Amino acid sequence: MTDLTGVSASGGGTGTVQTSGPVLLEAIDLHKSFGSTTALTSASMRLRAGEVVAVMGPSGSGKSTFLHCLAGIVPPDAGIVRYRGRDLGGMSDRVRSQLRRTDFGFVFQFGQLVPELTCLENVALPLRLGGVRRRAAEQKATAWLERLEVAGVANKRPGETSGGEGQRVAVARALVTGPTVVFADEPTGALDSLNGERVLQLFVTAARDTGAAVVLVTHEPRVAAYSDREVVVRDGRTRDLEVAR
Amino acid sequence: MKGWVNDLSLGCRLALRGGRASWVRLSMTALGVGLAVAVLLLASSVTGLLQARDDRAAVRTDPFRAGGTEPVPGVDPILAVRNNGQFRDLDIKGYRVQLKGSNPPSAPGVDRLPGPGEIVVSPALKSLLSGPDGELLRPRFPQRIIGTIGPDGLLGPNELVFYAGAADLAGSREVVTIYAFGSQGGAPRVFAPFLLLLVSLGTTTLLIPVVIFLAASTRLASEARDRRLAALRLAGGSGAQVRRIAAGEAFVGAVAGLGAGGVLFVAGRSLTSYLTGPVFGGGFFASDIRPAPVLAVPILVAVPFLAVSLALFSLRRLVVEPLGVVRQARVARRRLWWRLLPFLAGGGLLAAQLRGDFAAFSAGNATIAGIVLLLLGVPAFLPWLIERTVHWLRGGGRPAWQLAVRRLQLDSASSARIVGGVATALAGGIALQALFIPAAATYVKENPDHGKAIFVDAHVADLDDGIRLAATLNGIDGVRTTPVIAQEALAGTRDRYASLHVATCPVLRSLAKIERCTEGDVFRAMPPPSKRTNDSEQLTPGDPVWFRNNRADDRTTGTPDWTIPTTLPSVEALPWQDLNAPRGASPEDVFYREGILATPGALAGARNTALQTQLALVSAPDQPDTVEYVRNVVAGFDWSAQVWQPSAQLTDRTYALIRSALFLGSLVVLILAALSLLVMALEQLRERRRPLAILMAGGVDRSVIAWSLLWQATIPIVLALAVAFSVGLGLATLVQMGSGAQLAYDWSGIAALGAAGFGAVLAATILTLPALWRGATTAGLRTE
Amino acid sequence: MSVGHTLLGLLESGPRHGYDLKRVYDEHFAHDRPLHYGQVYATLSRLLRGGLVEVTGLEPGAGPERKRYAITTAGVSDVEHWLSTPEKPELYLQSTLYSKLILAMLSGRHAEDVLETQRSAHLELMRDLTRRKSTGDLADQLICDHALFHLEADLRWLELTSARLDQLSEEISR
Repeated sequence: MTDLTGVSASGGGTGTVQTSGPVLLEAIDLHKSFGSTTALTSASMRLRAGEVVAVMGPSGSGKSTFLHCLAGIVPPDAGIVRYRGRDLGGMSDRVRSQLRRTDFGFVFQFGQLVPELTCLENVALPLRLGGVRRRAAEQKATAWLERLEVAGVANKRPGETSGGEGQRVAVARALVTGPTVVFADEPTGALDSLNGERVLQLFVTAARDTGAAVVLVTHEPRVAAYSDREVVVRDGRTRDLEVAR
Repeated sequence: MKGWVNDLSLGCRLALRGGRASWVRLSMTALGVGLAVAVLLLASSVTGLLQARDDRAAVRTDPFRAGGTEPVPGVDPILAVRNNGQFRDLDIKGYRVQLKGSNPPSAPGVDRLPGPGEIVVSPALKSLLSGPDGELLRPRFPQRIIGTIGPDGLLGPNELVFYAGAADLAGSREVVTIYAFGSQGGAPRVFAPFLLLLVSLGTTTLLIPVVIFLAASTRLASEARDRRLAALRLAGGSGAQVRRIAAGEAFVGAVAGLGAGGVLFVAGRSLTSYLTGPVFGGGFFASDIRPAPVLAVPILVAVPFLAVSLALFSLRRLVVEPLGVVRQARVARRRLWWRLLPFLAGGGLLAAQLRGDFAAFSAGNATIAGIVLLLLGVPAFLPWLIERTVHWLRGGGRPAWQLAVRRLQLDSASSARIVGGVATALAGGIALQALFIPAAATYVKENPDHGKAIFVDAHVADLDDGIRLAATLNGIDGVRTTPVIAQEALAGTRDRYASLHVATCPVLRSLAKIERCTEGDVFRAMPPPSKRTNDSEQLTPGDPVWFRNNRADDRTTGTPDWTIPTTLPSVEALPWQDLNAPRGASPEDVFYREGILATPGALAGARNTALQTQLALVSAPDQPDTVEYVRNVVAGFDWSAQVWQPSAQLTDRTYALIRSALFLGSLVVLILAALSLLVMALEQLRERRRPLAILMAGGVDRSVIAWSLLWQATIPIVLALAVAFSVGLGLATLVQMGSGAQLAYDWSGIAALGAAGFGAVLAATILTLPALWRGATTAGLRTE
Repeated sequence: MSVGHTLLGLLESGPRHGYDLKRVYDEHFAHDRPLHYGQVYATLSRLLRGGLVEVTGLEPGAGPERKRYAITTAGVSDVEHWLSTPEKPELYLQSTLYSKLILAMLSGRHAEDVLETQRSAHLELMRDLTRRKSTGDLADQLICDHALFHLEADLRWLELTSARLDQLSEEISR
């Protein structure tokens, strides 16, 4: 294509870059090391409601650790993570777990589905853990599987599905509780381009439709292109234009 | 052939050089196999252990039976008499010896036999005497300790034994002149047929689970192994090569397990010296616990063979493709028919033996084979039942339940194997319990004298001597004695006998209807005519009599010891009512003191009197040590006196030993089961680290996972208990019918067994929770 | 991408008017910039001169839009040849960016900074393309994908180069 320069001028996609929404999640100057390896030296970012932010950087730059800290999975050695103004570090493990269950959703690269449960049960699991009755949970889960175009694997176990199907089921599981933030760590890393694109498209569209913000960790620009903006992690430091502003 | 060796050795190297993960895997396998091997080695040592003990026991006691009493040139014989005693619930074996020269026979384990005022004690007795409890025991052993008894003279390290020197043994009852200790070895142990049945049932019950656990341990971490094998296919290995490599790996695990088993065995047997208790007769010397080569060598060969065959067997349904393992998308359903064969065969064999002939039934090989088959049916049938049941379960309910059910649906085999072992142990245990009920009737007797009193049986020079003893005993806090009556056995010519009861007039009046009694009187007590036996009239006034109490010989010639006075009024004996009275078989049974009743003055001219007095003491029930004070007092009075406090049950010692051994064995099996489960659960946690970490990341409470693990353990064990109860009770019924006993079940014992099995499984699961807490952290998220 | 070859390809399914050709072309290939009529007829006359197309009929009336064009056998073989010949990979911004990176390094700046600025710009464009892709039809998607892959390739090359240059500059300054 020689005429690409004209593309950006026309714009007109469905995504709207939200730079004005309320700040949902904020990380200020996070430090984290594992033993002698330093993963984060100074990482900060801000996530506003409903926006999709790509966290980019080469492998080993600390992206995943950053995500784990943001989601309250791993406590940072120093620095503050606030969700809706509340310091995650000040919460008990129990409250943090509860928060992850109710407000957050997760999509990982692989291996996140419980191998024993069927796909439908996997999607229904977060609801059931939240006390929703089985019928209601599975109805909702079925709807999500349909939305992600994998209703056909509902009664299969994860081991019997293809990679793309598995990731769609994982996305359905992440979104089924109606989270405010979905954390995705290389969600299409194990998929081929076609499957990856489709999963991302369904994922981001569904997230935008439900108003969930997304933190999308990836090293692939094409994946990052699904975001509204990007945060770059380099050697454990972030460069977030939002915060810098 | 060379290729084979290469493949096998490659497998060995893979098992050893796979880095940290492979070491963890190898050590878990080694631990699991090692535990089972240690138990097998222990089992193989039992006969040797019993033989060694029997041999030493024979050296000690044979001289009293035979052999040692033959004169040996150059040896100065000793006089010896057994002097066993008790301290609380501990048996003390004792010998009183009197040396007759400077060259006595050497007693086993004793450097120098003691002279008068000296004593040689076993190390355990020595430490008991010098310990805090020794205070109570020391008055019985005032002698100077001149040495300790070596292991040669002891059955076990904790046995309480002494050789006490004496100067006055001549003329004592049961005294033996000994020229030599030692014998050619103990007679082989002979088990009564019924006891043999117990032993074979017990052994089967214990060993089947051990073999099952052994097999389960060799199959640990099969998922990781399968992935590794797939990588080997990718690198160009053929299917057959991969199988051989797997065999090599299994071989290494088994060999490591043998090593671990050896170490555990050596460590475990050094602990056995701490085993004490009345039944184990002073514990076991670690050196006695030696595996019999006949049994140990097959173990050494069979374990690697078993491991390798199981590895190959478990690969049969597995297609290792270069790009992964195809483990039957849907597992082939387990087939039922062959799993029922052991039940049918075993049950049939036993049913065929039901002829009501107890001894034939007990000893028959068919019976034992039937029992073994029935028990083998448990681990064969259980996996099928568990598989069917979990597939029938819908997986509804709470998420923890759902996780557990789905996990079991995916793979119930490994847990089925372990609970199969537990179920076998339980089924056997229940059958044993049932066997113990009729057995208890034969081998455990309710003691009619239980709880009545403390009894003292002492020799006295005369009645006053006895009264002095009674007075001393009455001085002990809380003790009251029965009236003192001294007894002698009278033998007349022409095989006529009578009992002599010596007591003061007031006491005599309680024995018979005596109107007038003065010192020097003698009476003949006769029961009412309906209760009369011939004994009452055998000896007549003026008959010469000889005392029997202190005599080994039956002499009724020469100078008589006493003559029955010519004045011998017949009086009517009164029912025996004091504590000494033997208890009748029924309340209508009444006993009388019949024979010659004499006041002490009537014996003034008698010679060789060896009066014996039996006193019954009432003591306060809340002071269990009173009997020890009584023993101390009595020991100072007459060393050969017997003091006993009847226990609730009289138990045959061999029976008690078997029961304790089986109990211990069941305990070992349950512990082994729990440990195997633990190892397996930890291994499973390790393999599922990532899914667990992701669940945790998603905010799933650890408690949900913990509950799912608990359910995952509970469902199989509940099924296992059901099968164990059915098979156990069925087996018990067949065996009871076979032995002609009335059907009876020890429900509380069965419930206790079930609870123990359930508890073992639960405990193992609970023990995995710390690992879950630590292991299932979000650290598992970090990509490998 | 050649307009001539595209028009030839469109004629393969049957003769068309010039106006028709422009409409179909715009529908499938033009996206942002429709073809000018002049461009269409200039191309068609070039093809006519080369004997790749021929005029098969004239509608009543005047003007070139009344001519019907059909592909010749020479035209068909030309299209076949075009389709079976790989495109020469285009180098896009390579030379410019390369110059920037080298310049950054020589002036003691981090090559990474150039990268990040460029990445922002690239991503901005890629976002637009991605958005368009989600609303467009299959042709849109394919073309956007092509652009996206190219932009991504640029960025990757840029990433690798900047990482290498940073390494290099560190070695130099040591």
